[in-house]
Amino acid sequence: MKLLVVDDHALFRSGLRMLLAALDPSATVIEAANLADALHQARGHPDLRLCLLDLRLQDGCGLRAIESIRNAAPAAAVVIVSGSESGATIRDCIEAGAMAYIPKSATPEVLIHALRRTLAGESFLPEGMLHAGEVAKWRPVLSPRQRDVLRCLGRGLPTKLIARELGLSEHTVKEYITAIFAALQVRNRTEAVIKASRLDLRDQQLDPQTPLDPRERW
Amino acid sequence: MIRALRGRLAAARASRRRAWLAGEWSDLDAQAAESVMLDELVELHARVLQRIPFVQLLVVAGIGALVLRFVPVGVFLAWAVPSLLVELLRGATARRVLQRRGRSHAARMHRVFIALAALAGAMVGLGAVVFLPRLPIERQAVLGIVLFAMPAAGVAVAVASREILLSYSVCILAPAAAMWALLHRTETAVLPLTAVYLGFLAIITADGESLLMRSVAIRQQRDRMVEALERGNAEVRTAMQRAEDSAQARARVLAAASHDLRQPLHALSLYSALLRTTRDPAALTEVATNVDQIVQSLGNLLNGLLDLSRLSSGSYALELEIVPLDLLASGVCAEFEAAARSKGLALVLEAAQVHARADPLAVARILRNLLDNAIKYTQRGEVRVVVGGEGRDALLSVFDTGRGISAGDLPHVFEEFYQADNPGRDRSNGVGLGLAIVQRLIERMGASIRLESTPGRGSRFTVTLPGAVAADAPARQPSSAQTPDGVAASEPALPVGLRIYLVDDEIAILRGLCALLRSWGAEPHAAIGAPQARALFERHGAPDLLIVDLRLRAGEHGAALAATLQAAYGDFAVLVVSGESASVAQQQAGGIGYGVLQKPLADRVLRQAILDAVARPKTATAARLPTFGGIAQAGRPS
Repeated sequence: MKLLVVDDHALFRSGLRMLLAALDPSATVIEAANLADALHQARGHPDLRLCLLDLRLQDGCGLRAIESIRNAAPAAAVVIVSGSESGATIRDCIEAGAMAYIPKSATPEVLIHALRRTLAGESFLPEGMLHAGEVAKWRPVLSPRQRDVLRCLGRGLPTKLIARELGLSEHTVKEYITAIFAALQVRNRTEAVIKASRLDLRDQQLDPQTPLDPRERW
Repeated sequence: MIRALRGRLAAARASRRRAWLAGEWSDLDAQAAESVMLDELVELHARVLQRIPFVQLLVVAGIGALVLRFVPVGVFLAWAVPSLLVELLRGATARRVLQRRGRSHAARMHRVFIALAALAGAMVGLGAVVFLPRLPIERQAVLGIVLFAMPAAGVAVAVASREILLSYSVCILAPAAAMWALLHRTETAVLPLTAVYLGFLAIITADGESLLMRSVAIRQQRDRMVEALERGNAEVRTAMQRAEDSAQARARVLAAASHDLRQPLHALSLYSALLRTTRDPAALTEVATNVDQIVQSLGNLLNGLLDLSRLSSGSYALELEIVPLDLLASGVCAEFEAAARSKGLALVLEAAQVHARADPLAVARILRNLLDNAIKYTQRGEVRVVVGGEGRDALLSVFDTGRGISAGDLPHVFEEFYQADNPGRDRSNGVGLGLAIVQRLIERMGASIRLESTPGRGSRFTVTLPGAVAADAPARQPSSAQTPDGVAASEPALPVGLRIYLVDDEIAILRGLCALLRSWGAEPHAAIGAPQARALFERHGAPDLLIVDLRLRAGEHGAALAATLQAAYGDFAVLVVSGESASVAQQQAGGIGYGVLQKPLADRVLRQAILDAVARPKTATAARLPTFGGIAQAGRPS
């Protein structure tokens, strides 16, 4: 799997690269120090699956960076790795099409867990975003196919690409999406991603050894 | 003799006045009030006088009604017309005084008014002498009442001046009472009663005078308080501004620091995670190297921040020594030789033998930071350090042929954490605090730094250190005599209890000088203006030293005043203070032979001048004395 890491701090980039390689030896990691470089790489590698992006770059930051990368590589999921922990920022990023948000201030264990989930195509959102206690016992039931569609939604893929990837018609995908929104009791993709992440988080243990085979999900 | 008498009377009155106020105001305040009071008095008197001609018209008409039956018209008119004219003259003079307010000499106008009052009174008195004999007894009585009433009204006209009142009243009543006594020889009580009446009027006027003086003093005090308040306000505002600026600066540094501190920590988190997951030994080596680098940069950042904080809070104590700059520069350059060589740069030192009074650690630090930057931002060519002197300053310059600093970056390079071309803030390039520390150190030392740079060609930083010292002065440990302010114990003291008179027309200066001289153990007395100075001499005799300002109020000349006083009271030392430029001051005081001090007075200069003046043989015709305070001594080239 091809990954792109965009961060202006060289030491951080190296660390991320090495950690990703340790978690998934089959991954190829490309590095970029600024947005221009990143876009260049993104256009040059159409099979890019994942982009880890820092919000604070010299030549372009924040939501606009997310937009540019998504335009350059629509099939790639964008994961934000950033120093900010503001709930508003995280929400804005998801709305702008990001799949997950990993805070740099996370402890090493959480970092590993977050990266594993990301590599598996699952969303990850910091603890603070998820209002503990709200989702007491209620758990929506989604069919496996619906889960697939949800995952693709999480990666920010447009309907057309979801249809292509899953081998379905656009019409079917739209029906699935409606059903998912109803099951999760949400109104849009952002809320769906957040809620799903919350539910998944409750599901899984924070066990670094949990085998999540990345190849299966992608 | 008369002058002495008058002087003695004036002094007595002045001291009575002062005693009256003494409980509430200082001597200086009382003096200040007095000098203003004469102006006040003259102005108030002039205002009242403007209406006098109309009043006199009524009086003349009234007297006319009284006497015309018994006195020929011609005689009456011969009196009435001049009498009216005199009052018209008074009124006109008053109007002119009011128009030229501030420009006329108050004491002179006062004398003019006294004379005019006497004249006016005399006219009325003349009328009494001419008319009284021709009138029947009843009319005489009525005229007598009118004549005695006029001085009473005169109290209001004279405002607070006893002289004006008395001159007016005596000129009316003396001839009138004398005439009456002549006409009625049996009435022996008239003259003494008149005298009593006059005395009574004088007492009332004296009270009015005190009241006026008090009101003037109050007003002056209030003005001074308002001034002090405004000054205090201005100071508070500046202090607040400074506090705000410093708070803002600190906020900025904090914001930048927090980002720069967190970044390495985030990376460390990653490496810690790596250590849990990786089994690859090669990766471990890379991890170790990177962790080292992060720790290093964190350490640098912390040290830099601590230094900055210490410099900003002013707790960094400078230890001044005579520093041989050439040796210091050569030592610092030696530290950077290896770094320069590894980049293929030439490191050149051109040092003249210059010594400066400075803190050696601070200068070394500045040079080190500048060299560090120069080498960092230069890829080829040379870095050159130049040590030289220029007049009273020592110059330390660092040239490089590096990539230079763009015009946009130039104003920012000294800011904390500013790095002109390190967008990723890659910590291997340093932390951006070097120049900020340089600037703080320079501010602390009272030095200055100039930066010139051409992008693509190179940059030059020039540090100017004040306090260059001749190269042959031996470097020695700082002694207490070198502290920048305060007086060292080794300086000669003034003789205790030295009597010094200070004459100036600005209270602030007098106060300051009095306090200073008192702190040196002398006994200063202050006088505002020439009249007070004369009064001071009257009261206390001659001093050991007179310090007088060259230009006093009302065109009085300080040196001339001193000469007059010396003539009257014998020889005493004199120092003249001038605000003019050296040559003009010399001209003004020239030939009189007094030492001339130039404003602003430096403490040490003043002290030395006092010692010299008091030690010299006191003769008013001494040869031309040298001037102090930066002016070339006579005979020596400037």
